[in-house]
Amino acid sequence: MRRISGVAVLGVACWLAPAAGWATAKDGFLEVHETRLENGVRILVVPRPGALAVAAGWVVDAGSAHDPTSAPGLAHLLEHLLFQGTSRVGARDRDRELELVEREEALLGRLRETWRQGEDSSLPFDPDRVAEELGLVGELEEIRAEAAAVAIQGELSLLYARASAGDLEARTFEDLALFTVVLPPEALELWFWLESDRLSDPVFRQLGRELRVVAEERRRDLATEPDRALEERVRRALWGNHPYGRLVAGSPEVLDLLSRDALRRYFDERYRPSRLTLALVGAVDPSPTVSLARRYFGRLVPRGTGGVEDPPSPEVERVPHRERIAVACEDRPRLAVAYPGVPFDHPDRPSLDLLGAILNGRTGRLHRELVLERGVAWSAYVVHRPLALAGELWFRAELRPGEDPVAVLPLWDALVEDLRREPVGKEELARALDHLRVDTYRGLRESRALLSRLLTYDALGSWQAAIRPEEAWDEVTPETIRDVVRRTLDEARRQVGTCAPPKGGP
Amino acid sequence: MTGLSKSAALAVLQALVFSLAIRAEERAPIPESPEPLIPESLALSLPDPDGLAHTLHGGALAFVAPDPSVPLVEVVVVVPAGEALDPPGRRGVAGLTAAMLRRGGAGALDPGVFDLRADRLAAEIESFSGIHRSGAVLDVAAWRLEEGLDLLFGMLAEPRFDRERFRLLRRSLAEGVESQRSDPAVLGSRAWERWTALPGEPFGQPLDAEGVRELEVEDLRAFHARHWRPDRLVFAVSGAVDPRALVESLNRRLRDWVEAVGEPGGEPQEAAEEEDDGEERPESGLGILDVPTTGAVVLAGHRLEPAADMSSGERYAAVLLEEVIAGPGGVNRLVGRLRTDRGLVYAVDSELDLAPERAGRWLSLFHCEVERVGPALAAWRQEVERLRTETVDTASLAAARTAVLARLRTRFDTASGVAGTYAEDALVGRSHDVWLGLAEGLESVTPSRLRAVARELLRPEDVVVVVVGPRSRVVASLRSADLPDSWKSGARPLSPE
Repeated sequence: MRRISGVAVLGVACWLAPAAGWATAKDGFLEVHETRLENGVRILVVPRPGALAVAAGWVVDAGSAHDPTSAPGLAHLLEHLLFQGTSRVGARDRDRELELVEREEALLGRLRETWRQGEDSSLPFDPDRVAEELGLVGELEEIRAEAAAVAIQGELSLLYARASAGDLEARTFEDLALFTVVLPPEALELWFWLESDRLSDPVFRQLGRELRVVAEERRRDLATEPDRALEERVRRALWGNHPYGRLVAGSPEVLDLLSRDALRRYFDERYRPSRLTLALVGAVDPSPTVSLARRYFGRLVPRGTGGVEDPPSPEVERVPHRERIAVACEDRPRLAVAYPGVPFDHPDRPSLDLLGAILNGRTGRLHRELVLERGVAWSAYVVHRPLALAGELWFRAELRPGEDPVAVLPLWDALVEDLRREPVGKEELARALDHLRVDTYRGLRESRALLSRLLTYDALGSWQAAIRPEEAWDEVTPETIRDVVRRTLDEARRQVGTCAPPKGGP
Repeated sequence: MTGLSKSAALAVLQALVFSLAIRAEERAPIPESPEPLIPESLALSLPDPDGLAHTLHGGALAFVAPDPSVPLVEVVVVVPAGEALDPPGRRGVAGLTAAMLRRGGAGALDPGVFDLRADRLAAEIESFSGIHRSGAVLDVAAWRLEEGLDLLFGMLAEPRFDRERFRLLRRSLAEGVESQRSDPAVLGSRAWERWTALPGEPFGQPLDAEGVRELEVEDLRAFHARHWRPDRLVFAVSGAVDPRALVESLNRRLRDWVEAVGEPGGEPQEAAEEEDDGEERPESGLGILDVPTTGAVVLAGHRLEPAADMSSGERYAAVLLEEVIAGPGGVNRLVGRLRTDRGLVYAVDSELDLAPERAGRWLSLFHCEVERVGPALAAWRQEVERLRTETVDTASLAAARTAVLARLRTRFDTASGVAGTYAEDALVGRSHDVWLGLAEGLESVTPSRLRAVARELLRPEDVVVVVVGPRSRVVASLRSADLPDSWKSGARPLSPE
């Protein structure tokens, strides 16, 4: 055989390198293949031998904290609208639909302007009410009815369902929005087609309808989740004017004022390829998967100017004796205490992770004290939620009937005081560390859970922390925890919320 | 650099060809429409159940699915004994027994020491109970499996039923029952169960706080001895485990258990039939629990006979019917009609529970505004009637099939799901062939067969409706809706007791 020169080999190797172009990290038990495309999209592929399905999804770092001040709830609304299709998915007659959209936008523009200049601009904008005042109800309804007839409702979901995919869902949080689905491996290319299509060509159809769905979702959540009202009010009080205190769902009546162009501009700025990470976990082969990713997602081009500002880090005021928030509830009394925590990449986070492991669980301090010894609570736990710019640390207790949440608060304060005064025992810390390590493995078992974990951690800081016990935990000492407690569990920066049934019982 | 060896050159050539293939694929045109990318057929190869099954000492069964990808082992053990076997006048025994296995200590370990031992292993050990079964779960790091099994078997074979912990738990349960009186969904469910309880079932008697407070540790010991027996156990084990070593370990422990309690003999005593309390109880109709709630809760449905006589074709049709009326996906007609299309309800959940050897039930539960109770119930009846009288279109039938198969894939996607599914088959007497032949079986279901099964299973004349909400407003809502007169004018007042 002819000898091949070294230069030729080098040349071939260089040409091969971009096509191969991924790094593989084997962290104990899982192999994660990471690739970055030229347009900045990142892809994580995690094969799992024996899996029958693929959990696939993507995350964008555009959450409620990035909503413009004039449009609270925009990120969440976008999440909804991204299910309404594109030029090629979701409409029977795209040309006719475009005509109707133009007519509707022109009409809504008139309604918005009328409202702004009118005498009742102190009331929320209601397009139907203003249309009625101007005698334009018939025209508005006619446009909407025809647009609904031209649309193929839920075509994206139908296409996935036909391919035997399930669990199609999305969620918006403060810092990110997550879109996931579980599908058979034979439908992988379909996923790439549909997801890249809706990221490159969303048309935001059925805008008015989706605003009503968002409003209805909120009503339903409040009606069916007893903790929701308390938690929302505590968060709002804790964060003040910072976007972290806002409701993710925002204000549908304010969003009604938004033009389609403004929506598009925001989407172009926030949903740039460099802000996207895809992940696929389960019955996947990395090499062909990355090829598909290049083919479909490589064509995404950045739009907008990239000049959107991220929100500032929040500053929580020190305010002694903040007013306690009290809400009525129909069932068990509850106590909730919230403190500002630390962001994901903060050096204190590992200590707060371990603090949680020390306080929680059957042999944790909270259960021993409040459930077993004092018998005032059915359950009590702490949870630290690290966000991108800050964090929240919550103490929550569900109390026995008849217990007064205000009277239980000093028990929590006493536990905190113990932690502030004395370092935790070495054995207690070792136990907590052991639990955290094993819990990390528990988060890796199931593909969909692992997918969400990978994408969330990636958006907040680093996906590597999602798949292995953190080395930083090993550096934490009892003194470190004591110092972090002193810094974090500060009475002057916390917000207390209580929920109790009316006197006389539930 | 000088030339390369022949093998190195060959490797480079292979890499080059491979790279060319990748490049070509990356440059292939993207279809204009997603249609060609929808798979026409899907391969689904399920693990062979026989390869996972092990018969253990004393008659217990184990299904073991190894998965070395994560260094954990999950051991689930179940017995076919739950709330439905509560002895007469002793409601709550099954649940308390299961709960006390975890909380009451085991063998020489008092509860506090047991908790500490589990804690030191970073193990999660829990017990659970339901209507027809109870069990326990051990979730532990693979390198601590033997110690974890020691704790698990201590719980199962030698529960201490510590009196102090029992008193605490009994009090918690009693308080829980009392506080649930403020939960409309729980009130409604209990009222519906009482109304539709069959002779011999304990549901005709309420689970009330007073009854719970009268339970004693001896009740739990008796229930445990009767039902938590080595010959009745079914194990589902998954994770980083060697099946042979595990089976040896389980057998060793089971031998010790059998030696301690003696060979099991005879069938466990079933609950005696309840005495008829003489209260007149209509077979169907509508009742109202007058509770001053903000919204209403509605339960509608009826009991189903044991499905032992159903042919396999009918069973597959029932699977699709369940998808159409109770499935979590977009095919669900009730969700589509009541929630998505007409916004009549906040949420609707349904269940079509069919079992070969016991009575099942069909039940829908929805939350709505009080003023929408009537229209929501009317829409619910109309949708059910459509299923009985009209054939489901082929597109919806196909969608239901793919939704069921999608969940089948998810069910068998993890080792825990594999072991758990086959173990459940053994527990309820279901053949594994149900899964292995599911795709083909569903394909054979025609629209007319689905309609026939709907007619058989969904019987409007048997429907019992319980509405929880302020009575006068509920009655006003019913009055204007398209509902049977007996529901509108003959709504029976119900009591929470």
